[in-house]
Amino acid sequence: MTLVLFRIDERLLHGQVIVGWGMRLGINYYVVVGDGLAESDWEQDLYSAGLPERTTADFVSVSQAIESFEDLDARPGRGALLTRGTGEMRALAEAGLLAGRRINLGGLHASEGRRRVLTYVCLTRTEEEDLKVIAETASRVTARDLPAGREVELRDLVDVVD
Amino acid sequence: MMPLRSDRLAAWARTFAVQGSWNYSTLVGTGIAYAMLPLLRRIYAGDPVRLREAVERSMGAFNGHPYLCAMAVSALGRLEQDGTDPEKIEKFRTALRGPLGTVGDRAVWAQWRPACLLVGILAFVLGAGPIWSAAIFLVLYNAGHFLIRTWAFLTGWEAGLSVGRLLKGVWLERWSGRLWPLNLLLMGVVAVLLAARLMAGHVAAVSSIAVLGLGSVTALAAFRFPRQGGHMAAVLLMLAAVLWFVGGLLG
Repeated sequence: MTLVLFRIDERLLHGQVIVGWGMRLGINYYVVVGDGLAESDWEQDLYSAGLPERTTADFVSVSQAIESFEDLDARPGRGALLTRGTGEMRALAEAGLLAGRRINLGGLHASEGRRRVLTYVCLTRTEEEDLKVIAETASRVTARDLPAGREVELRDLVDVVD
Repeated sequence: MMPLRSDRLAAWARTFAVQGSWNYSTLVGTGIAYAMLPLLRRIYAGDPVRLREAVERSMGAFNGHPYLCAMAVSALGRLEQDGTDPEKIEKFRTALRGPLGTVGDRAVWAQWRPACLLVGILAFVLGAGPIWSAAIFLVLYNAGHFLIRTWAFLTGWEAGLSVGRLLKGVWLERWSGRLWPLNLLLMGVVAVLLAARLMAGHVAAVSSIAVLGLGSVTALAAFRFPRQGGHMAAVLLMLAAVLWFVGGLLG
């Protein structure tokens, strides 16, 4: 159980995650779950270019993440698992891997079809459904941009959307 | 058509204004498009429809260190020149935001600026007048600023899609690692020199103002170097205070 942060944030590895969460939680490895990114070398280079020293990032597809979840969760140190959207996290939840874990909703920004529920969270109907499915197995699903920020429960977000 | 050297020069010059239309929804996005315009106008010369499309996609949200944004401007320009698929350009743009921010923040805000500031303060403590001290800071700091901006622009144009590989372990990161001990050293020298000055002068009112100044400098430095730097700064501050106290007793 060395994965200590599960975060949905479309910006993936960026300052808020690396400095805000990473330094606070002492993260030394990141697992980025996403199908397209797992096959794109130049994108991986870009995303991992801002990592601090002695910190690694692995880019895996959803199926690879499900297959090797035990290994990913048993690495030395403390890790963070990041997904760009709710779909990838839902897949992990449906594979039964998120039982008892807390899921952090970090940044889903305004775009067509999304409704704003917090300054940094905008959701489509599908994303809302994904989050409900994740919440069925995860111990908690909450939104919080930074460790010092206000934590908002999923039901408060979903209520706003409904 | 391939942008000319003069177009690239114009785009580089425009990167100085990249924050000119900063806003909460696209951040420096509009500034990036403004700086790219000389390149885009040449690339899509005689094709106003494609030029318009290119300008529109260049105006999307973007964030990054203002000096390193020059890399985004030239690399995105390069992708347009190479006829890269707009969807790929969008992915590139999204991925580039993170590293340009973190690399630039760590190198410039956290290391280069305090180092130059400390050199300016040191000059002041050593007797250079306020004008000269400020001039030393400004010239030194902006020499680094111009170098970083120019390097970023040239590299972005050369590397295009593969700037990520270049950013990893880049000289800027290695240099900022080396600047950190220099910063501590400078801070220590400044603290000790200030303490020595305080011991020499015997005016209590001036001393307390100077100690306050010393404390602020150290606190600022501790803020900039959150881990070990903070401890070092605290030790230095205490050392300066002890020296001042002992000096007062002896004097």
